[in-house]
Order: sequence, then C-alpha cells, then structure tokens
Amino acid sequence: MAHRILIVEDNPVDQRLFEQALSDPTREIEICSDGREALAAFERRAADVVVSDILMPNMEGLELLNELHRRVPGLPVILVTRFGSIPAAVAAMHAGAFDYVTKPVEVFELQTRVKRALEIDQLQHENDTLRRELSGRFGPDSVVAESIESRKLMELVRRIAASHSTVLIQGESGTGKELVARLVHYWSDRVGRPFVAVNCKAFAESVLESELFGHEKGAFTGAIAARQGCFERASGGTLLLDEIGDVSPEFQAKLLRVLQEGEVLRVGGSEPRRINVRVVAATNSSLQDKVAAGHFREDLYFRLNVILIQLLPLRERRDDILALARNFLARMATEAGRHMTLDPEAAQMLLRHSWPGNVRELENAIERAVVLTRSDVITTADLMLDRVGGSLPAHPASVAPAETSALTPALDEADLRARRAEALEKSGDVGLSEYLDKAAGERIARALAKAKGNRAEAARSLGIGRATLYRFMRRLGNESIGEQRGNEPSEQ
Amino acid sequence: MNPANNNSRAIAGAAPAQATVGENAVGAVTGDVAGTGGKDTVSLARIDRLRNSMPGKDSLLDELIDLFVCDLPKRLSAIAQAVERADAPGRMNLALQAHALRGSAAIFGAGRLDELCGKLEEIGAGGALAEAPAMLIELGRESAQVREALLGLKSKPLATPAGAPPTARR
Repeated sequence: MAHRILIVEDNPVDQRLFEQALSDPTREIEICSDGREALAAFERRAADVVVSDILMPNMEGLELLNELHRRVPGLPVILVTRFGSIPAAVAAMHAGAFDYVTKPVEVFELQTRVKRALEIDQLQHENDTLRRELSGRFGPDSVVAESIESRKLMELVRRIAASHSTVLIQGESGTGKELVARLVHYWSDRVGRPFVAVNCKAFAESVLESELFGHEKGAFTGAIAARQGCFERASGGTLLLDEIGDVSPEFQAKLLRVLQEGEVLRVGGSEPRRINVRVVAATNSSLQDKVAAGHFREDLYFRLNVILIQLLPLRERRDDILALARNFLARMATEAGRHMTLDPEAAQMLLRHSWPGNVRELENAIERAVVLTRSDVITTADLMLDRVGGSLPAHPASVAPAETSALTPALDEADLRARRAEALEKSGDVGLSEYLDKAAGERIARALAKAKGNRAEAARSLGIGRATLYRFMRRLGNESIGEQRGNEPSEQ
Repeated sequence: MNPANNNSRAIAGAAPAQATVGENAVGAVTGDVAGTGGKDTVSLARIDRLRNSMPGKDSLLDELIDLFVCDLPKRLSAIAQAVERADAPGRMNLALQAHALRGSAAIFGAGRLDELCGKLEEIGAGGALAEAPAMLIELGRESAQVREALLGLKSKPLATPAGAPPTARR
C-alpha cells in the first residue's frame, strides 16, 4: 500500500519543491495550503506522515500538530521552521513533532527525515500487529489446558508472570517448557521487550560463553567486531536458558557470577555491563538429582530455583490429548485451507498412546497426518503411531488403507503401501513415524524442486499451508529436504 | 508587459530592476548589489545545489521560477493591502504573506529579499508599522530584481501566463 504524505505549505514554490523532493512511486502526496485544509484532508483519509510549515493562515503548524495528535497519537509530523529559529524548533519538538527541518529546506535533509519517519511508522505498525498477534497466540484463552493439572499450571504461570523472580522449568522433552517460558514472558510486564531463547546444549562451551555474554572485537580469532550476547540482547525482557543441566561446572561458575552480580563481562572485555533480564532456566532432567550427584552446583541451583514449575508428561494429563490434537489439526488444516477432523477410532488411538515424546510428538503426528493424507478425516492409519512406548493399531492391515491415506502423485498409493509395509517390517529397529517423516520429507523436497524453491507453490501443490511446510522443514532438517538446521538462539 | 513586474512597481513605486542576469550572469546574480547591504539578489551556489539535489528533474528549476514569478504579484499586493489596513488582522496577514514570500526567496538564495520579508514579518508580529511603507518601496525594487535575475537563469521562457499556476495539484 502506498504511503500517504500530506504537505502543508502556503507558498507554491515550497509546495512544488517538497512534492518533487518526496515523490516516489510508492507514495501518494497531497498538498494543502493551510492547517484547516490539511485537517480536512486528513479526516477524509489519514496520512502516514505530515510535513507542515509552522506559520500559515487559518491554522498554524503547532495547532495542526495538536489536532492531528488528538486524532492519531504519535502520528509523525515534521515541522518546517525558519533557519536559526531555535525557539520554534524547540517548541515543535516539545509539542511532539517527530522532527523539524529548516528553511531554506535542503532536499536531501527533507527526504531523509521523511524516509525515517515512514520507516519508524512502518516499524510501529508492524510492532502493533505483532503485539496483537502475540497477545492472541499467547493470550490466556489461546492456551490449550483441558486437564485439571494443566489448568492449575496456567493459574500458577499467571501468578509467576506477575513477579520478577527467576524461574526453573523442569519437564520431559516435548512437554512445552519453551511455551511456558514464553507465557511467563508474555503475561508479564516485560511483554514488548525481547524474549531470547538459547539452547545451552547446542553450543560448544567456548562458543556458549560468547553467545551468552558477548565478546569484544579481537577477543578471539574471528571476532572481527564486538557483539552483544544473549543477556544484553534480552535487555528489559526474558532470557530462556534451555538445557541448563548440561552446562559444564566451569560455565556454571561463570553463570552464577552473572546472576549474582547482575552484570556481564563480554569475552575479551574489561568493563562489566549491567543487565536487566529475567532468567528462566529449563531442563529435561532433575537438577536436584544432578546436584546430589555432584554434577550441578548447589548455589546455582538455588539461584535458579526461586520458583519451580514442574511440567507433567502428556501421559499424566490425558484430558489434554484430544484438545491439543484438535487444536493442532484445526490450525494446520486452516493454514492449508482445508477442514479436517479426527475419526473416533483415531481419537481413541491418540488417547491410548503413551506419548513418550509428549506434546511435540503429538503435534508431529498430526502434522504428518495432515501432510500425508488427502482425506479430510484423519484415521488411525494416517496417524501411524510408533510401537515404541505406545500402542500401534492392533491389526497391521489397518495401517495402510490406500483410500484414506494417499500421497500426492509423486509418491503414489502403491509406493506408499510398499513403504509402509517395509516400514512395518523394520519397525523393530526404525520408528515408523521416523520412516514416514522421511517419506514426507522426500515428497516435500520434490515439491520444492518442482516449484524451483518457491515454498508457497510447493505448499499449494502438497495441499498444506506454508506454515505447516516450514514447520516440517525445520523439524526434518537438512538431511531430508536440504534445509539448514540452525542453532541460533531464537528471539522475539 | 509582464503583469508581475507591473504590479510590483505599482505597489512599491520601484525603479526598473538594476540587477539582471543578462550578459554578466554571475556578477549580477551573486555579487554585491548596490544598496543591498552585501546580500545576494539570488545565489547561484544555492541554485546549483538545488539543481544538483534533484537529479533527473531538469525542468524543476524552471518550474519553481515560474511559480515564484506567478505568485509574486499576488504576494506583493497582499502585503501592500495588509500594511494599508494597519489593524490587527492586517498585521497578521502581513506576517503571513511576508513569511510565505520569504520562504520562496530563501529557496533561490535571494538574501536581500529574504531579509526584507523577515523585517516585514516582524512588523506584522508587532513591530513598528510606521516603517512599513518605506520598506514596501524597497521590497518592490528588490523583488523586481530577483524576478529578473531568475528569469535570466531559466533555460526556457516563462511556461505559463502570469497569474495561472503552472502545475496541477494532486
């Protein structure tokens, strides 16, 4: 959409100069001769930026600024003052002008100021959109918590979010530790500030220090520039230290010092930097056991374990299973523009399964079913749950009914049946879901190749949403579909 | 006869323009002009900077000069009327009109005209109105010189009849 700029100026030479200086195919410019005319134009259709002279007939620039801000607080208004008129420039800024330029206006200066105003306006707009999306995605009503245990957990998280204490989250892999850490962040007054998640296990010890604490230029070979660490990047927000139980005793000592002192020292640096970060640590093992075994410092454990959130495995909160499954299915089907349901037997299968991989396994199973099936009803055959740790369908024959579970033409039904049969034969050593993930990955790779890397087109040809495609690609990594799996910390 | 020139002389009783571009463009345009207190009629440096800042828009300078020339009689007339009224609304209008003309003058680096307009703006904002009539004469003379100097800088003759805005607004 074109940016709309109002130029408010009663002198025709300036009007034309400003218009020419700011004209661009992506912009729409309207010229007004005075403040009153500008206000009427703005009410007809709002503008993204207003450039206005200060002294004009009918309504002066400062009055116009106030009127515009009454309508749209924070609207970028650039006032044009006389060169050397410092009081006017000061008054403009005090009144809330985004910026000012002086007459005679230098074209480049005007262009730069307007460009900056548009960029900031755009960022503000994106920020507002993201906040709305986030508050929807992480809003209290958006979390699936059907079981009593999960409802109690949400209540606890809500209370914890309001505090500023350090939080330790323990739970098996796939139980949603990062989601809970995000809820602690988004339900707190730190929302709007960064949420930075770092998987401590994903980095070599030497890299982890630089990743978390940052480094100065020349601190080590390859440190060609100074870089902020995660603690600094999360300033004012929340830092999730995932897999905290796996860091070395030496690193534990460094981390303890940072938490105690409230400041970080970049690698190669000499000046400590104050930090204001809420730390949420997460682990899939029992830190207490590690302390008892002498693998984790007790003082760090107590520093992290101010508030403990223990997440239950999915098998211990079975009331959540179907609610979660339907939630995932609805989201993925909507992304693909489909309407999909679970048939009753599939629902029973989900309830019977023990979910050793917890919610992540459930999400993957649904995602895989959505990718692999053409039908709008997910059956037991589409779920293809592993024997390992759970329940497979009682009769292998029911695993692959070709009429309900077919891949797109590149992987035809016969091929699929053969692969499933082969997979069933091998299921003693290879997980069936893993095998089918690989098949789906190959299918996605082919679709991407056919679409010359165009993901939207590939998703369309597969009958899935782009987000589902991205998740699948991320999950399967580069082995199957040529995507680079990253270890970068995620930030929001 | 160009109505703009005619009008400005009629208001301010100005003598014909002394500083024109003609044969001695640089000297006449940027050099000291008698009685101007060292200020430029128009500044070639300023105009060059303006031209260079808008690459690919070669006709813009001509267009801006046309706009100035077309707007000038209206401004001078409005300023004269405002001085004549000598009341509060008149003062306010004097300040506004002088401010607007000053803006145009500054674009072309017309230092003397800029200064005169600044003084009239101050008078409009509460200064000694008694000084205004004498300044109007100076204003008429100076604006005629600026007009002539600018017309001499144009690559093409005046594009539109005086009084008609040469560009359409969006």
